[in-house]
Amino acid sequence: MEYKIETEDGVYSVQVEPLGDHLYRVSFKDRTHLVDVLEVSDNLYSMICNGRSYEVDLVEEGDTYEASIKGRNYWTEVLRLDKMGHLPEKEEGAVAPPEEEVMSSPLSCKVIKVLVKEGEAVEADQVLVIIEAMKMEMPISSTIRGKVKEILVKEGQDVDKGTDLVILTAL
Amino acid sequence: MFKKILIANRGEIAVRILRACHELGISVAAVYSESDRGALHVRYADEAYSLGSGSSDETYLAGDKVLRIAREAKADAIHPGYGFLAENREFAQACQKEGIVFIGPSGESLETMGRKIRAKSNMTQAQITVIPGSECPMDDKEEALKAANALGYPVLIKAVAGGGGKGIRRVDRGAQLFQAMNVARAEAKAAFGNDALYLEKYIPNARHIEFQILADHYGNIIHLFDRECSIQRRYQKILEECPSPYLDDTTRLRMAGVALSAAIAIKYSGAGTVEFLVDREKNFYYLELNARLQVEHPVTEMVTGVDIVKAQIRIAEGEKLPLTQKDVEPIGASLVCRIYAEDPENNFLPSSGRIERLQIPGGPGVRVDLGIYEGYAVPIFYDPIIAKVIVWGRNRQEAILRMDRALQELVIKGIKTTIPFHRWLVNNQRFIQGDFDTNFLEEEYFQRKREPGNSLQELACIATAIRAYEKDRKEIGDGI
Repeated sequence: MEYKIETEDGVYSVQVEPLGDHLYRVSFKDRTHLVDVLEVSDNLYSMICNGRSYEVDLVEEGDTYEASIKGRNYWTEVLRLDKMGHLPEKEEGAVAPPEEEVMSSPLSCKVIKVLVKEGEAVEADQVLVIIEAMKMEMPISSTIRGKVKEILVKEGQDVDKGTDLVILTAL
Repeated sequence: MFKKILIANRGEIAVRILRACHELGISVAAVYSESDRGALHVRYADEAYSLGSGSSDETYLAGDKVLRIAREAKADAIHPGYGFLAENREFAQACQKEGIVFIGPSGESLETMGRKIRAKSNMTQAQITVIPGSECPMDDKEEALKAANALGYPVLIKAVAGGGGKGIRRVDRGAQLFQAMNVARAEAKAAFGNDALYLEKYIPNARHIEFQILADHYGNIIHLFDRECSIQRRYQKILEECPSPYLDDTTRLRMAGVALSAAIAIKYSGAGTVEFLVDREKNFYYLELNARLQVEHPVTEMVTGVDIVKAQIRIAEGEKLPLTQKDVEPIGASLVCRIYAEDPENNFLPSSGRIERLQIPGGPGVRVDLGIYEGYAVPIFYDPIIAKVIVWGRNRQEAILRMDRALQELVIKGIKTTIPFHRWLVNNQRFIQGDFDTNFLEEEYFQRKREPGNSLQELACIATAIRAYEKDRKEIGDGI
């Protein structure tokens, strides 16, 4: 079975062939590796690759993964082929700029201040909302020049990571 | 002798103090906010009392609540740890009135120290070179602007009650001053319940080096050598070591002498830390005396063998220092990495959530102080420090290699942490050679180029492919 895997360094083709209980032959970058993989607890793999032993913590989110190995983190994404066997095309080129921009919270936090009103015009980089987490205040700035369409949070409100804060319309 | 101590803190430092108490046979009363109900310091304590729910103001900073609990629990003493009530003069004096010992300096020296500016004028009288700065708190904006202009830019705005990098802003031009003052004031108010500020001249390319001191109530005082604290981001230390690789023995001895005079000048008692800035010519300037236990105290403990928390407790009980200066002999070198719940790949933004997996390093020369466990949810309300990895080595080189090894064993999953940053740091050539100052992270880490793919990146790729294969096999069956 062949997988296309995207990493920070580019997209690689990886062949996986099972050889028995937790043993695989993996072909990758013109080399073949003999890999013994044992899931020692949830998401934690003990891997012996060509005689070298590693602990790999692999957390899955859909088709993207984060691997932690020896205190360092690496992300990967499995690119699923369509029915024709092609890689999904990434959107690029003449894409119209988005008409709406939703500013969301990068982390779980408390909303300290909302500095804009609905209907107000804002510049790119203008601070819209100030949030606080772990005794640190952080500004949430507008990524576009536009107008505030809707404010979805109140001062003092606790919000989760990814919560929408402000919706902007582009000018 | 104390029978029961109330620890007015949380997290790793509450656990650290609790351990000292238990080793001394002293019973521990913990206090906690509702979001900390499941925290380690509560689980390990002999007694635990709720401070209710809400922000720090309504819980760990609420001196009246803490004192009421101490009284009802019949605690002999209160250990404030660092932050929160540690340098709060009113609280220390309220304890004294209640007949409960505040484990820290006397209300009188806290009063002097709490006003860092007054403390500085005491130092000037003792002929100690201090950093140029404003002589009075900046209540009046126009006066502040005049003072900043007189000092010359850049200047630093600092919180009078400060610590932990909170309430500090660098100002490069007069036009930025008022806005920076507003931000610093708000931050100081939230962190310390005190929004008073002062100004200080900014010294570029300086080292931040401090001396640990211990003083009893009878005029006996010793120092426990120095700590190097120059590795900082947002004015907050992230790795410290003992001894500083920058100091030669002559400078070290001179600085130790000044540190002792500084403490004597204000009749200090307890454990304290005298902070200095050291410039490129090895001129040193007195910065401040921190009247508390420091986050980084374990590196000194590793090198001198002195348990600073136990010493604090004994001094507070009224015992004499059991050591003289010549009994203190530093051996080897020690480093501490502060593991923060922050994402080093994303500008050190805080990260909260549940600890899905925790694997703690061990082996020779490794000590881990922590306040988390597997399954614990890191709350968003408090300081992001969740663990400290401390190592000792026969010399600095061995300590660095040992730290790199310990960091490879340490696994904290479920939240982002600074572990990858610390691994970068202990492998950085400038760090290894001891060639750094307080600008180091700005120059090296934030400007770094991503390392090109290595074999670990390839391994991540292989692991992903095998996992995807097993997932497909479960979903589609063996026919793939």
